[in-house]
Amino acid sequence: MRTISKQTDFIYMADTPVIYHCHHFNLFLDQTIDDALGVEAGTRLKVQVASTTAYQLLSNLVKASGAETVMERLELASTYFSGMGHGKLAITGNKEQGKAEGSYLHYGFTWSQKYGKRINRLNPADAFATGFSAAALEVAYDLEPGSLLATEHECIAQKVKNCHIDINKNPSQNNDYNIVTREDAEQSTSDAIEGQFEETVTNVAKGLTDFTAAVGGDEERGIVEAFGVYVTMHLSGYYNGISYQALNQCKDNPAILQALGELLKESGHVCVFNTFGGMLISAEWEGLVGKPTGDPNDLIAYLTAIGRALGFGKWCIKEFVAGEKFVLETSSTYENAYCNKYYKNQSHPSEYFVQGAALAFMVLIHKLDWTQPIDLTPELYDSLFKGGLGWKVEQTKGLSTNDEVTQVIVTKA
Amino acid sequence: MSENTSLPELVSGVNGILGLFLTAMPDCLLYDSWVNEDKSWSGEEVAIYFGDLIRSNREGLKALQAYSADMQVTIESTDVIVVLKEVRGDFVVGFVFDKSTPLGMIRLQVTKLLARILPTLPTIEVEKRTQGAKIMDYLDRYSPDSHAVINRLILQTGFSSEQLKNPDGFKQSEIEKLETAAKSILGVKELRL
Repeated sequence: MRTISKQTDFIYMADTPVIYHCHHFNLFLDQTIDDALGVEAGTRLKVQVASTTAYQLLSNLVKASGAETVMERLELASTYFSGMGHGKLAITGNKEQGKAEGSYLHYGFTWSQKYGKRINRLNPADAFATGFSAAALEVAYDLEPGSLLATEHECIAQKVKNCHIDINKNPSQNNDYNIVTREDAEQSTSDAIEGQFEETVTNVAKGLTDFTAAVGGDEERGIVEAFGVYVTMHLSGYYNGISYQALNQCKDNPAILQALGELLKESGHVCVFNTFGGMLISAEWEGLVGKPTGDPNDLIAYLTAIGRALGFGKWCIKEFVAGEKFVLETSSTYENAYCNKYYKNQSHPSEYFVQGAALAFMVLIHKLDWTQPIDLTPELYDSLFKGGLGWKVEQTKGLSTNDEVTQVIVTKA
Repeated sequence: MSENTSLPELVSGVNGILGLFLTAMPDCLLYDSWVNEDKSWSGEEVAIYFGDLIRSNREGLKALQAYSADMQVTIESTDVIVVLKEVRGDFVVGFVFDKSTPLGMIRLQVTKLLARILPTLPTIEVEKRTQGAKIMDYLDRYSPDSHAVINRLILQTGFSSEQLKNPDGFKQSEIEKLETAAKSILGVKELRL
């Protein structure tokens, strides 16, 4: 059911926009939303957006597969949930209530792996699985989206064995069904462009795309452990929905808005360091492409190719001068697919992820010694990204502000 | 502070010792250290955590109604044995031995070394630090994703980054807000500063 658009490099699962992101990014983004809105409002938003976007995915899957009975549809939901690397989720119930039992749920499990030894978790972590559970029952019984509301009561991140979610009738039926269809996404883009090292970028991206076609949650746990991270195929609508709705809710407070934008940009650093970096130093990469030698021209092409292969958009190298400047241009970004439909005519470009990612490219290329073994630890991340980065980024054009392309420029600070 | 003790001379001939750390309390600042040349430990980092360990231990024993001013913390791990001793209330001395060193020998060596270290320790005048500064230091030490802490605090408190970088200026009501955010970030009910 996975398809790739030749025009935009967007990835779709049963015509629902999806992208790949690692647990570092996923946890960091969810945490940022809670910081901005407060845990209660943040959780409410995340669960609601998860429910909406999962409803879209599951409806499309049901249509594509022809699943008719409640059992078939719930089985389909659980299968795809695990296949996309989100863990194991067993959902049961009727039109008015139900429950879901989760094990190895991506957010809770990886939170406990990453942070559990250092700090305690005061609230459950699996907003996505929670919203997904409600949507699964809604689709199973042909209910309207937003008819049901799920709440996670116990979470592995809070040091219990498994996760428990209750599903009930939604007391305040939420009729916001803000989704981005395949058509919406494809129409949010401009004519495809090409850039420097295009042949390398295209070939490497194709190889990676073919490789990721076989990647899915393992049978026992329903999670994907690869490149030193836990990877998910996730709903771009979830990321965009929570990010842009949080930005919208904070728009009247400039200082808060700026800090939120900075953290959304930082999420790009987190992703590039952990996922892109993890891919470059992996055995799989060595087999597919060859070990990076440290040549900056190779590295910029590889990193750009990874961005395309993960479904972020048709990123291109408009200009690259090692040690000086990087201009990333793209005719498609997964962020703008959402902005174009729900937040048109923005006053300033706001594709934060691509800003952070481009900056992180230059940091990785110039600050790491690729001829030596690299260990992508939190300490290394801090040494690279905490304090003076040595580089600065500016988004000069944006599809989100009706420009022909999105353009970010990274130069020395 | 007076001249540092000559730790290399002190540890010369002590079997099995891998590191010696003098931590000035209450702020867990490294005063002096010696580390075996085969080890790449960071003295500053070790000093912080040893100081906090002693503090937590003290609180734990108080909760058990078993606190004594004369206490020693011994930690055994796969590779090392760590002994921590609070001296005079203003220093923590941390000894790290190789795991193969007999415990009885360690206790003997610790007693001898402490007797020689104690007279050389200076008297510290503690600079009164504001609660705001202590909270920010604590977060810098213990928060995960420390690179993001300032922006996280801006979101949770509404304070500006200038205010957060100059925490001495916070009023009491602002301190309470800062503390609430710090507890939320660390997942704790109380900050042990």
